[in-house]
Amino acid sequence: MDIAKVQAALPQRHPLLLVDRVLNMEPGRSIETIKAVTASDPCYADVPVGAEIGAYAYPVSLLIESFGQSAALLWLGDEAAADGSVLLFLGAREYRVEGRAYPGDVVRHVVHLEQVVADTAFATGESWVGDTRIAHIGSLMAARRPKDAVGTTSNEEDRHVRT
Amino acid sequence: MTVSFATPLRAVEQLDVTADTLTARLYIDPEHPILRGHFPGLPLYPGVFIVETLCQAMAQAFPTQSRLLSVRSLRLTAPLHGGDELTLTVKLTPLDGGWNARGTGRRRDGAAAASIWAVFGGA
Repeated sequence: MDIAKVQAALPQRHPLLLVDRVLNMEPGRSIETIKAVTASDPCYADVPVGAEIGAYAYPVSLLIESFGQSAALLWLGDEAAADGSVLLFLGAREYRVEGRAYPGDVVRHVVHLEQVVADTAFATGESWVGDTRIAHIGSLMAARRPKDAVGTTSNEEDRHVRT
Repeated sequence: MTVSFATPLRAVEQLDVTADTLTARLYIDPEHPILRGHFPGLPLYPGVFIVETLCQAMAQAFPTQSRLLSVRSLRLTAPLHGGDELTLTVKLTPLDGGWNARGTGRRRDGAAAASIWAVFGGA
């Protein structure tokens, strides 16, 4: 699955589209994806000259998101964005950071689908850079919801309009 | 606050630190490029960015003890829409030269948006 198909399948858009390619997939069971990290990724925009190498570690938040988008591709195939749906991260358990990714690295996610209950999926897996495992994911939960159902109820102005 | 490491966005605007509690606040800017891509026409603070907010708060409060080792648990219970405000309150307990951090994120209306339990170690 190339980036054209990945972008068509997922509802996330630049700069938060964090899967570059699907290497292989066993539908309903497992998927292997890659996300290439480069110094031109927007997350590096404000790293100051003279910073130590640790400052260039790819943010764990983006690594988890990238893993989650890989899980969505496994779970929903090319229908993740069907009917204008969005994907909501419901949670994670026992995400262990075991290493870091830096510009020039290619992160490879290996995701296994554990369970699907109605519109909620549970996945587990690992993230790798070359032969080094950089993360172990105990469990990750996500749901697909119609855009309309997510609403804007947390917005102050909207509340005032309603009441 | 400004950050000097790779980050998708500034995830803490104001931070209060007491003996064992961090309180981080963030206005969710619907015009931020990240939110324009998440999602087009429906700007939501990505749930997993609760981790980012916590990491940036820890980095500011404890620069040498802010290396994220694990997210033991993250639960997202309500969406954070563009225009809302996140207040993440985190209780800290010492753990092996680092910190055990357990917190709750609330929206402006007081609703719980997230709970997180993470472990940090030496940088």
